[in-house]
Amino acid sequence: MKNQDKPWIEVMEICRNHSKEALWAYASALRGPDIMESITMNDRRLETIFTCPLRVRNEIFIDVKEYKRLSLKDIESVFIYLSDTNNKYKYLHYLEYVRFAWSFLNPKVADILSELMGTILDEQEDRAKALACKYKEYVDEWLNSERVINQEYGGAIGEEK
Amino acid sequence: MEEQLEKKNKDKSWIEIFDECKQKEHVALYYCEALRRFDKYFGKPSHISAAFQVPLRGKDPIENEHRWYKFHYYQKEDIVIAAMNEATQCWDDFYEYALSLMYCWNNFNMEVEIAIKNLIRTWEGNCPDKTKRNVARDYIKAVDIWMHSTKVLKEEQDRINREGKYLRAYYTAFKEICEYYKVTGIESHFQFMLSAAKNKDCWILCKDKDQINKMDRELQPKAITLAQLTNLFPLRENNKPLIIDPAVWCELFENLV
Repeated sequence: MKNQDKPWIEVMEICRNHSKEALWAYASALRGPDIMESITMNDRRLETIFTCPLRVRNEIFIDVKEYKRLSLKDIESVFIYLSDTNNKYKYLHYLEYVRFAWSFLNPKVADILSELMGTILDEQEDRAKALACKYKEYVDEWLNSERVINQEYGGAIGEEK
Repeated sequence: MEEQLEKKNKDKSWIEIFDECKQKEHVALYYCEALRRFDKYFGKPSHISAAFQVPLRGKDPIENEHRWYKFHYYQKEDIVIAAMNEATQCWDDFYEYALSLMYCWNNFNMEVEIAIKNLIRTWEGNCPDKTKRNVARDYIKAVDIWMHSTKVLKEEQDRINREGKYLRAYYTAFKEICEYYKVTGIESHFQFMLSAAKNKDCWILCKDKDQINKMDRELQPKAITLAQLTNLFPLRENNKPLIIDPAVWCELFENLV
């Protein structure tokens, strides 16, 4: 079964079998950001872009289906929005949780997020768009894969947040 | 196994708490949503985290105790007050975070959910310091009640409490019946039950074999003595009714006492 068709609790169990760190990383990345939703369209889309793929099949909250409805342009728009240092700082903590989860599921996505978070992209729209494109590619790669943990020992094992 | 069942919430790891939540998928997800830190104050010591994340994080595996008990009761009051003061600096975002806490506590312990609502109202209304301290205290008390419960989910805890009440009521009734038999020594009710038992698929619990031998032949295969009972499983077979000799009741009662 492809990851995108798995119930979230199944992904959770696989993470659990892998390691405590993977379990914590996945469990703590299932939430949306603590930002009042009604600010801008980009703010509202953040949860769909970054949390929904991790929620895979989920009957309770918005899940991967919502993510699949987005176009590449929608994702690019959010990445451009996050290129602004102020916007990025607002979501840094949330994105760090997302990155940590991907470091176990598909480290390539984690690398993209590291670049997004760690590089000053002000006025580098093309770079942001390229990152968005890669992000979508690697997330889709994981969603279409049957393997939940994408590397034997997972990604960087940091301190639990 | 029994010890495991009786473990208090404060002695459980977050994974054990999660496992109990799994009985209800939406609660498990609410728990995951509430597990992490608030997005603001990243990288700084956060009172919001100490006041609201810590209770849900389970026992610290390294320190082998719950961080909630790292601070004295009065220190915790100050922490909750400081947390709410921090929250006022990013109120709308804190409210989003508080919602995820409330969804979770709604399924764990509603008193905590109500206490969080009251904290929000009190700080929104900029109430006097004394009121703030009182609501902070209510929150800590409510969290402590959950910490000392043995069940994560409120429904499970309620069930245990209900069963406790039921058992107490049953025990009282049982005691009264036994005392009645002790005083009166009347066996007519038992004899009446035996006469009805001939055509029933049931067990008859007797005091000893002599008593069984005295019984009507038809009843003898249904009779069982206390000594024959190595466990209670046979009695549960096919939900057969059990007719108990009053003498056995008295003996059982003595043992219970």
